[in-house]
Amino acid sequence: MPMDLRDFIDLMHEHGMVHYVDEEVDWNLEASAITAMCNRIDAPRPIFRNVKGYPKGYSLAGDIYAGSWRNPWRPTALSLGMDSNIPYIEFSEEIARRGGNPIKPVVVSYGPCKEEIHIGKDVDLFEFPWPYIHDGDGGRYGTISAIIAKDLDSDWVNWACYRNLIHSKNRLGMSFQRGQQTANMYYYKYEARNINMPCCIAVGGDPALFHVAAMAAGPGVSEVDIAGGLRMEPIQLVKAETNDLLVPADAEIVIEGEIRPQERGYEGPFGEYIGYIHGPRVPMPVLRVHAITHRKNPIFPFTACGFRLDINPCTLGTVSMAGLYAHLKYQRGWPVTSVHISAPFATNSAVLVATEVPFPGYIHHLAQYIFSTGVMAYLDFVFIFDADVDLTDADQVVEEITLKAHPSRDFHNVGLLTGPKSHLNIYQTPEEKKLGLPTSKVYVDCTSKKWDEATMGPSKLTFRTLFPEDVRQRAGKVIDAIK
Amino acid sequence: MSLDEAGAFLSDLMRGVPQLREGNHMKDYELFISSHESLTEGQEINLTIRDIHTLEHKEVRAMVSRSEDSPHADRLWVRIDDFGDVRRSDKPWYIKIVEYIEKPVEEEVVIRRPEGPLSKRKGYMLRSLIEERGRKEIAQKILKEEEGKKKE
Repeated sequence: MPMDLRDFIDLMHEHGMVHYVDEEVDWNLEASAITAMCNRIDAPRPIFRNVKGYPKGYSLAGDIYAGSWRNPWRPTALSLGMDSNIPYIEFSEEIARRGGNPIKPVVVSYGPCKEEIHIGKDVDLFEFPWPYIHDGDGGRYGTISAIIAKDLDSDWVNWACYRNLIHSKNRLGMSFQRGQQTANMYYYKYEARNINMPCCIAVGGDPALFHVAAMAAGPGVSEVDIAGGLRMEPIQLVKAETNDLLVPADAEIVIEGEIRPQERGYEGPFGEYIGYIHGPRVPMPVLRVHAITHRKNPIFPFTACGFRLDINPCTLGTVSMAGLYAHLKYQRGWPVTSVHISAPFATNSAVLVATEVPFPGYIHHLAQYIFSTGVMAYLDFVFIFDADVDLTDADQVVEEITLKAHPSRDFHNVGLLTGPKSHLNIYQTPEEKKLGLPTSKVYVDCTSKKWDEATMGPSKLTFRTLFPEDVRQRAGKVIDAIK
Repeated sequence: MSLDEAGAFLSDLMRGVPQLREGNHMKDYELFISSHESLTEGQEINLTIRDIHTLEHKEVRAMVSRSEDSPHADRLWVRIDDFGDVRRSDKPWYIKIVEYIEKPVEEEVVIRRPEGPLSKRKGYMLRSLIEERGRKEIAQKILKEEEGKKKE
């Protein structure tokens, strides 16, 4: 059944997961502060329906894809028509199953995103309540969107999610980092051949489109086809007004324009998902906006980035990791049982993998393979656990690391990886960031080791293994009396 | 003072902007720089500043000064963005904008896609395909030339 952003918000409201705020709220830090606090205390996410300085009906939706600490994937599951209480493993399997059966989109002649059309001189990005999210950000930012651009040498159209800085009424800064697919298209094809790159940014529409834009599909893979797979029916697209790109028919806002070669504007700082705000500002490509089309009373989703339980661990950490899980398990045949990015402590810095260990040396092979995947542009650490470890339980994960990883033998620094590297990590120096220098990759083997049979090895302390049946029964009776 | 103005005033106070004196029409701008030393006083320089109320960026040629004495000057709040702290400095600089140098919107050439059903746009699609093929051929030619030069 089709679903757009409005249907999803209604569904979240039915489940008590969003709260409508009708008091006037300022786009300038206030909306973000309220959203960040909701994230911290796990309150229903706010929909601000009265934004200061904007017409009534223009709404801001704060972190609607963010779930709870224990179930960060819950809104994502709901947005894809799954049971909101689905366990993580089943969620990963369902994403793998649906994503493995992509469905081509259909092109329609008209969509709600064309209810209002502004072209050329009528374009004004400040018509929309882009939030100022953190004090010190380089400006007002768009954070939840799908950036659409076509490869110059093929029919491949990439859908991606990067932050956008609003420079002026018709200029928008693109955070294009090395290794990102649309960034690569621009730097290595369009700009290299001195050709303008047409580009559209879709805000809202089917939540599946945002999920696939945030996931790391391979080059040449059509994200919109995968979105159709996740939705289990074709996504409806409509032609843009000023270029030949296709955009979601039910998007809230579509921004059309082109990115010219050698044109840059300073981008950043921005309080990112890792929980820090820092520079340096770097020159980034600029989208010259030629047209904006939108629905009446548009809803503008955003994330209060950096307060741990924002959309990042909930989308990239769940949908994208489910994609990596499906790739490792079903395409490569590795006996992995779960892949996850833990929201509480390892937001987008480390990937956690649970697996069977079929042969000696397997852990090293698995880690090296994961290092070669696209997500490692953002992640530097891989922690590998026994197959039965619940990766969504942060306490258990920390215990497994500290108790099973040998300080001498199980921490492996495999050296510098020459692949592209995101400059968002805070441990990189300004020079490393400016020059795009690579970082080392590290994997930690947290699996149980093969013990010498003569010594039997350590035994996990449990009531069942350490106390005879009669002692357990007597203890139980005493405990009942105490209670 | 209207409710909106009162709200903006309180908001400014919360963010550390000194109280605006009645009748003082100074505007407030912000600027990101790597260090205070990178700002040169006494000469016209090009800067990208932002309006603190709308956060719109503006390209300007301006004179800056640490002294408030400059006539018709507006306040310029500085943020150091080198690596860590991006908080606004306690004391403002002062800025006199000489010229806005941002290109006007009218300069943009916007080609709107022809309206009407797809069947009536066949000619447009064909033209755009031919143009795209032409661009690719030019690009391939440039690449070949570059490869040829490298071999030489």
